[in-house]
Amino acid sequence: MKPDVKKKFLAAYDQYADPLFRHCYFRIYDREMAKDLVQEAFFRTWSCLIKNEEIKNIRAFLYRVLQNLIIDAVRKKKPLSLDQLLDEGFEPADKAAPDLIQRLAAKEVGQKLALLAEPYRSAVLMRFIDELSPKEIAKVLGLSENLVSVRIHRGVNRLKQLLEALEEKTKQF
Amino acid sequence: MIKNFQEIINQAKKVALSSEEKKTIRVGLELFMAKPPVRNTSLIRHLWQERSKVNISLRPLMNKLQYMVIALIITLVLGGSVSFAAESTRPGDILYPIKVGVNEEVGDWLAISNQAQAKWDARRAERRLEEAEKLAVEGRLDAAVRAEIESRFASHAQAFQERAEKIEAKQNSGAALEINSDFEASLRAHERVLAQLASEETNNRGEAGLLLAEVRSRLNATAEARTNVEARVIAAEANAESKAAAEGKFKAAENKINEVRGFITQVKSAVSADAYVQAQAKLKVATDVVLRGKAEIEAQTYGKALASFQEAIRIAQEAKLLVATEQRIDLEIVVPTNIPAQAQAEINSEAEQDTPDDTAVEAELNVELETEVEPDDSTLIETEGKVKIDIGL
Repeated sequence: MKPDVKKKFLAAYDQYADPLFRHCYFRIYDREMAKDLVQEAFFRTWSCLIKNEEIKNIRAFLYRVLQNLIIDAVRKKKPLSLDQLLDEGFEPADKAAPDLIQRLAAKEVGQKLALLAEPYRSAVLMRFIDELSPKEIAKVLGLSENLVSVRIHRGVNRLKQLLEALEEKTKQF
Repeated sequence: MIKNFQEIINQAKKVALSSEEKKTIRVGLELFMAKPPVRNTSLIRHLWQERSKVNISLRPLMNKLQYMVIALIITLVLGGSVSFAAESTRPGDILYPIKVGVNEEVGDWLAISNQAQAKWDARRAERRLEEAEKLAVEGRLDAAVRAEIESRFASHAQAFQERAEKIEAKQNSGAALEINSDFEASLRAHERVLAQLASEETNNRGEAGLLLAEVRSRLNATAEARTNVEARVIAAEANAESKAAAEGKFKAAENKINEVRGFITQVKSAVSADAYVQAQAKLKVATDVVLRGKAEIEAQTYGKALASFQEAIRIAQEAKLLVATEQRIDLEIVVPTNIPAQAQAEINSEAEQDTPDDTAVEAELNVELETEVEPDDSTLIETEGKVKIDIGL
């Protein structure tokens, strides 16, 4: 293994830890678990690197590993209906968030994003919040680029509709 | 209140790890990178459950244990005596499948490390050859039995080779050298026996010859593997570790030579003078090689010294196997000494009547012993009779 691989990998951590965490957080709404999953994603990626497996796009690879971990985690977690939770006054904000701005942002954005159902949510998240290209998203999700573009487009439209509807509702009161 | 899409995106981007959290994960990551723990990829990790190290390290063992428990129950139900009785069977016997299918499989499960498994594979291959030799001596090595033994031998030898390569791939050249060297010594001894059997005028010489060819090809492969590993050991740089390894091997070589010397002296009376002399000569060579290794330690070429000591162990082992094989085959015609007094009296009277004939019989028996032909059941009784006469004289 080349000596600079370690350096490059740590640089990748510095660069992508936050976006990965953000992505994970808006998928599972559990700050602690999101931290665990991000760490595990880096562990697994490193394990692949030291086995001399070639990784062309480290960013896409990390997202892919994280995506699989999220799927595993969601499968094992007791299924919860988000609609039901929202009706009951579910607040996705985390008490553990480091500062007030983050807490408020997480709360409000989380509630809004939660309106959007899968698979559109992850597509929108990756495209606009993580700023991955549709090509990279296709790689991460193992789908065609075309399908990913369609999901992004529909996801954005749906979210805009939902936001408008929500605004109408608040205006009425 | 967030109203539009762009605002959501902007706000969402504010969610991040705190610098402290980021640092903690980074430290964990660096630790992981410095010394990655051995992970079993087949295990599904329960992330939110407490991580149990015991669970991870014992899991492969537990998987094995499950089968072992089943096998143990079967063995207990059938009775340990069956398993024990099966140990001395040969192909064609009723209990032979128990020997290779149950007893040896249990042995396989008991060997956990790669090295232990490689040794057990080598041992299984040897057991097949021992069976073949015994059958050939008895004249029962027909084509079908030979084919069965040969295929089993080949598969064990193949398994051994794969394990040895695995061990070497893990940078454990010392261990790889040791097991290859041991297996080579054993194959060489069996090759000699089979060559002798193939050259004798018996019904089975053709079959013994075919088996001999297989053993020779395996012997060559093992010798080649051993030479390659040896070259790598010699080329390894000299440091404190290699010094300790060489010194450890020196002690092992000395112990081995002493053990073999004791063994040869012990069985001296049971083997032919020729074998005894040959074994002693080999032992002398081994002692010389140890001296050479000692000189190499002084010259600080520890890799070479290690290889020399391993060579000495191999030569000593060959010396041991040389007499052990002969003793093993001779054991089959060992004479019972506890002869009932009545029978002895009968023999005595018989002996008095007809002495010259008995000497001839005795001579005949000696010839049989020398050619190492094991008598079948009917001749065994006959042999006993003859020997009783011998004692009576």
